[in-house]
Amino acid sequence: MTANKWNLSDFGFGVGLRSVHYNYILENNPSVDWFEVISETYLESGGRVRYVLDKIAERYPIVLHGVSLSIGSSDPVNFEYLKLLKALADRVKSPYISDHLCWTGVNAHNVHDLLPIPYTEESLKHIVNKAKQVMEFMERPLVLENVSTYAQFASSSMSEWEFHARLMEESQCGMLMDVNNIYVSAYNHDFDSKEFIDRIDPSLVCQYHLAGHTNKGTHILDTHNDHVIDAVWELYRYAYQRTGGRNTLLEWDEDIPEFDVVHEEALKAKKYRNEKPDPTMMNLPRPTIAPKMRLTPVEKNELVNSMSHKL
Amino acid sequence: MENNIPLTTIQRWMQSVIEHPGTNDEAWNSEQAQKELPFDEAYANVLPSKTLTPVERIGIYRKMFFLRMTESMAIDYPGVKNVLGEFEFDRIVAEEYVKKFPSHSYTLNHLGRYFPQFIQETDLRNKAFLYDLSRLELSITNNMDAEESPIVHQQEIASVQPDQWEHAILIPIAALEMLEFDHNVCEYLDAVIEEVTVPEIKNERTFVVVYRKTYRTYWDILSSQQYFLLSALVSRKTFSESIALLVEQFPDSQEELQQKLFEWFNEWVSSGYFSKIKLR
Ligand SMILES: [Fe+2]
Repeated sequence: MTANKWNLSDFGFGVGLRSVHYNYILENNPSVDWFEVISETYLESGGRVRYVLDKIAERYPIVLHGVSLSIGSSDPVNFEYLKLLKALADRVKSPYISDHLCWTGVNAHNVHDLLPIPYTEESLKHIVNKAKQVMEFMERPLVLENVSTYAQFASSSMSEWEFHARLMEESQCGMLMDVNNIYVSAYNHDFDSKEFIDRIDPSLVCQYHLAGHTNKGTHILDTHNDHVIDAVWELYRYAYQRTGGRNTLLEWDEDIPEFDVVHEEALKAKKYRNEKPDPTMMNLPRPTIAPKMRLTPVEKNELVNSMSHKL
Repeated sequence: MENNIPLTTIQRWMQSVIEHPGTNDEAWNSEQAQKELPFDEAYANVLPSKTLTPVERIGIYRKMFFLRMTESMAIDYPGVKNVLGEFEFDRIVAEEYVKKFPSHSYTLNHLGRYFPQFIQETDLRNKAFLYDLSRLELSITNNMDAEESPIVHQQEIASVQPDQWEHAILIPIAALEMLEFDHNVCEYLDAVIEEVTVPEIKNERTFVVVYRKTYRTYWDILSSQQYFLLSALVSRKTFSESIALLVEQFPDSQEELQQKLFEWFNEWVSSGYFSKIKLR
């Protein structure tokens, strides 16, 4: 176990704030350790969402989690966006800001998805440079999350974890380790999720994400629509044993149940921190050949992940 | 060894494939995608998995893109979707709208901003009705994010001296918009939201105020006289100027108007339309 480089305090076990739970939280003050909020929802709204956020920020620690920084895009840093983000981070006293190691569009488009980066020296240099600009402007640590990906590029010259590790070393940003995303990408690209975790400097891990996913047989979709599966809990336990306590957050974005169900799921992390590991759980299943995907109404909901709905 | 396709080329190529409507094959072979990277080079640069080809893997992103666009637009435009039907709505959004007005914003909340304009520029059945309905729906969406303003209460109104009223100017709340339509859009949208049978689409001059009170958005129908007076007031005309204009516009109803004026005004104050009274 090791302290994190920035001495960020461990808030404990949090839940992603979602609008379906606003009323419940305001009325019941549940004993949640902290909330993570999707920054883009609150950047410019002067309506109810802003009111609710201010109320919740009075009572709970808040960390901003963005989906449109697009650090991996070949486009330059968008300082107009950062200006809004900084004002919001100051307003809710977010100790750091997180976003994803991905790109969301190029030529000023936004396709509103977390797209995979070619892991090349060129990309690395470009992203290191952008990350430094972001941190200098934001005056707080930038923490980047590993994303679930469904494609890889032949032009990559290094693995995802090597890229992430070098990015952190060269830019001094931190990592939001999403253990579900490690699991999903390991399945989709057939790599060893433990190796991913082993290769990340534990002092640079600032936060964890946990979530449910949808296994389609040929690949896994990061749908955030269900309980966390046991194998992902085991990955969390494995990672936790290297890092010690870090802000831990459960994401649930589709088919969202009552607040208590989401909160209880987040609190399961406590148990996994304290119990002995089960090494057999670490053996990942391998992809099976399944029928080709067809677009059906049911599948719609499965396909749309955390970014799908209005932010 | 690093192969040298620049980051920006890979991204422009992948984005053009994701944003291209139609089948995976059409997207990979589109003129735009080919311009960025010829098919063979692009194909060689996306690794297959044990179970999926490069085309199928990028196809996952393509499907998610169109689902996200159509779902996001359906949240803003349930009425338009109901008129068009799900299939046609999704088709128009995916194949035409997002191509013409791709998102340039950090948030999906802004995706539908140009939908009324798009409807106006597109050949559609029930186009005039759809244009009106989309303007109402956009106004409602915008209203939810408008800045919150303090509101004027009845006590403040009561404390204004009679001689001060002549020059009084009423400042509306930020979350208030006035709209005119040629169709029964409110009736239609209410039915969609309440999930009851929708009325027949009709030509009907309709005057509407969209406003927010205690963080809830409302859309109320006004009479032409109410609309005229409220429009004058929210455009910062003084109280007496606004009334004079109203009487001039509706000379035959002068007596009736005088009776109703204060009733309307009280209703508007209690609905929270105004944030401030400026007295000279
Ligand atoms: Fe995550």
